[in-house]
Amino acid sequence: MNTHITLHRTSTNKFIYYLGATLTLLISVFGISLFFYSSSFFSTLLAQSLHLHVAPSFIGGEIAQDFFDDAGDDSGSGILAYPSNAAFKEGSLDLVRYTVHKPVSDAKWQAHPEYWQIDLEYKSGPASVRTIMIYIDADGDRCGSTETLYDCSMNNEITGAENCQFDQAHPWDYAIQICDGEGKVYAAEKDKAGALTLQFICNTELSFAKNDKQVIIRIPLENKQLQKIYTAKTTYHYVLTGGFSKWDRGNFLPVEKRRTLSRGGTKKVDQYNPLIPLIYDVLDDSSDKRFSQNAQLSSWNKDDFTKATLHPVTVSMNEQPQTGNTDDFIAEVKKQYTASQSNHDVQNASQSSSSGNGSPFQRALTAFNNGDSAAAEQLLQEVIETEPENAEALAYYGSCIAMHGGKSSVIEAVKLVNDSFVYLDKAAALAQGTPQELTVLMNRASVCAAVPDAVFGKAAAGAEDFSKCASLYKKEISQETDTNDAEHSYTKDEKLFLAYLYVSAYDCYKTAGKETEASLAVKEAERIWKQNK
Amino acid sequence: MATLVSILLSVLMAAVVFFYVIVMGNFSDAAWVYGLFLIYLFARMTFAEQHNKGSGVKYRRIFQIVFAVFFCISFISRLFAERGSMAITSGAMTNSEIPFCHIAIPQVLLPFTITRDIIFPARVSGHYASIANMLCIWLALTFTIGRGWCSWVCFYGGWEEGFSHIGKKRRLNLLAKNKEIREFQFGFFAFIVLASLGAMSAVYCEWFCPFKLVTEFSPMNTIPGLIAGVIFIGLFLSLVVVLPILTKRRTQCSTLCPFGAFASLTDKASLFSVTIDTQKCKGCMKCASACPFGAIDADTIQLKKGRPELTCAKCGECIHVCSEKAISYSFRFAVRCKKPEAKNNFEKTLQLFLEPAQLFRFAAFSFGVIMSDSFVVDSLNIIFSQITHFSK
Repeated sequence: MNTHITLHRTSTNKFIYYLGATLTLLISVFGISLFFYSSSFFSTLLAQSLHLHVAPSFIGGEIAQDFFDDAGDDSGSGILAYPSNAAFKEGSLDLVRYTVHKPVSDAKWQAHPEYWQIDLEYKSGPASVRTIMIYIDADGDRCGSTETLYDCSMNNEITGAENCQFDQAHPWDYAIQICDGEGKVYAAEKDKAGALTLQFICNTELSFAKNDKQVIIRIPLENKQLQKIYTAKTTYHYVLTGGFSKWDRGNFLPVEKRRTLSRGGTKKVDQYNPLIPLIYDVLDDSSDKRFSQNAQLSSWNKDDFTKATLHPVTVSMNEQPQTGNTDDFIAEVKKQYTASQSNHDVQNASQSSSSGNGSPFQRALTAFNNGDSAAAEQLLQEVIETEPENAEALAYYGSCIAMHGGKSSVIEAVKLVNDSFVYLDKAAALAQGTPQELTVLMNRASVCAAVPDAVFGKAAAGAEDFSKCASLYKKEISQETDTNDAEHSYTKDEKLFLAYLYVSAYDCYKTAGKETEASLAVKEAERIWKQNK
Repeated sequence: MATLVSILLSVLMAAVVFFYVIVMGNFSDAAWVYGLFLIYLFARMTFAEQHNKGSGVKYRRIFQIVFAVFFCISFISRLFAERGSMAITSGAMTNSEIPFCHIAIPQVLLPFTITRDIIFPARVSGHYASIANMLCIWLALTFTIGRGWCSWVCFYGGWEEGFSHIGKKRRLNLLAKNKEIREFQFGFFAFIVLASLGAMSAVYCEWFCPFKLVTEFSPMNTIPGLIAGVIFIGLFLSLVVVLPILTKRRTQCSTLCPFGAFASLTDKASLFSVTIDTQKCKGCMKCASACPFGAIDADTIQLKKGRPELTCAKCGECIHVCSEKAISYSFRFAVRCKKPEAKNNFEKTLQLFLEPAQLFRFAAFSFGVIMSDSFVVDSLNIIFSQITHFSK
């Protein structure tokens, strides 16, 4: 009996040992490599399941409110043009996002343990061409100034004027001036005699990120005059952006009839008026058309010389920021686009079966559209041999190679995808400015979106391509109908295609970690989608 | 048969190196150079171990030193490219661009469980040193090589590894103080964890980490910044340079590093351990003298504990010096389930394939290869481009 038990224990022991050792072998030899290969999946899963986030005091504090301003509205009331100097890049005065954080106290690792952070994001850099003014009514007590910093300065130390005034209901208490790499905070306060005085309070911490697109302002709150920010439930912000000029009033670049290298101008000579605000972009409340940017910046009156009156955006300092549910919208666009594509595929299949033979490129396209990428690849190879500069053939060939990579072993896939981008990039370079550009960029964008970003890092490039495709498509439509984007009412198919392009750009930007760009893309998709509904 | 197993493992490692170093390095010259170097290193280590148990340890040392030096070259050059200096800028801080290293993990875990906030200004994901990424790596290493990380992978440990092998003779013997040093490390670890929780900030990273000198540091333009600077420079010179030279031990790793202490505590979850055969042990104490982490002392041997103390980092130095071959790697689960005696050729072959030392070395080296690939290839690319630039 005892011998039997001992034998049984020995065989159990042996089984457990070999089982454990075999598992250890599998983990050691294959497990670690496989873990690292899919580490981006595991880390995303971990971040999502644990809701990982950095303590807000390290990174600017909790967000009180986030505003997205329309892209492409950097022409004041629609009539201003940038100076022709090459330093002004397209969109360098175009504010696209304004984020107000809650004030932070007892922050770690920071130069100022008590601060208030405000972030601004522009469509492009450089930061050196901008003068930014933020006027803040911190308490809504109707006590403060309704004039610009320059206009209410008593001693003329500050030289400058944006040519505007502010809502009588919300006179500002603090003004923040950002230009020439410096940030300064001023307060408008009443003295004992009841007269309004302007006081310099402190310099801000200022940093620029994302190639100068983002401006991060940190206002130290040690000064007692600023501490009402801690208790403010609602603040009202006027956010103005103009061109920077070191030598002109208020560091705001003047506007003239005709733009020059160093001066902004009006788009048409007859649009010029000395009362035009020198503001290229202002943050507006998009929900209220009465206070749209155009309405605000054109509210000057040349008869009684009244300056344009600006209205603030309301920032709730204590409520949780409201985020719209975009997921349903994105899912709806994708669903509709997929359905419309399957209809097209059915039509293409019936057409191709009836059309029979065509040129090799036509046959390749038919094969590609029917999902036979192997046949398409072979046919396209023949086309490229005879026409090495055929941008469309190169683009489709690149896509085919990438699709081939998707069905290959890991090492071969890496090589094939890298090869596919050689063809796609060449095609994009050849197609620039030609009617084929849209097709070529669509191919490249689709490949960028399909390949894993952790390995190839192409998501951001894909997003740019999708955005470019949308612009090209809009241009194509406006040329056909001789209208611009604002005037044009899109057909259902046009709307769907444009919304799909922007939603795809959104997905790619999200993958690349570019939250602002992603939000702007989906906002544009929503705008087009809702048009004429 | 043992040779066949060594060849097989080397081929498998070559496949890992080929994919992670050469393919991911886009077949560049630097990737080929580093890839071939790694394959050579692993093959030499495997065959050396086959001939003389423990003799492969020198290849581990070479790997760790190379990784540490090239990591710093690559890391610093990335910092200069991104921010123009090694100092942490306010832009990097506000954009959460401070790389999150493994040493920060034990400092952030307790505050995270209580407040759900990570008290470190790093990216959560989408960055080579993001919080989620490093936490995943920590989980993977905890369940595989455990504290073997410190002696096989840690890109800071390589500095001490190098300095501790500069002198030929040990000028300061800390063997008698091993227990006190271990107690100090765990005491300091407890202090760091509690201080981080109290201050809601990674206190070790902010004030003590000596490796800031070879990576990044806060600007020293304020009094606290200056004090922190004096502390970390002093700690680097004393614990990473001078004391390792004098004691031939890894003094920072075995006295101050909170991750080392934390990894010791979680090492029980790992697959491998080091065991001492008390029947074979003659009590010569060579192993205690050789241990760079002070994990073996007189008590360990005299009390016949059968394993090193908690701080063992599985470096293999004790195995190398043991003339009785009494120390070896073993499977953690085999403490209760003894290795069965091989009764036939099949079982003998099977046991050769399932040799714990081979598997541990493979696992630890794979970790090192994958962690080091981009840094070393980057550094080599920088060096090659400089050579090309000057030769023109």
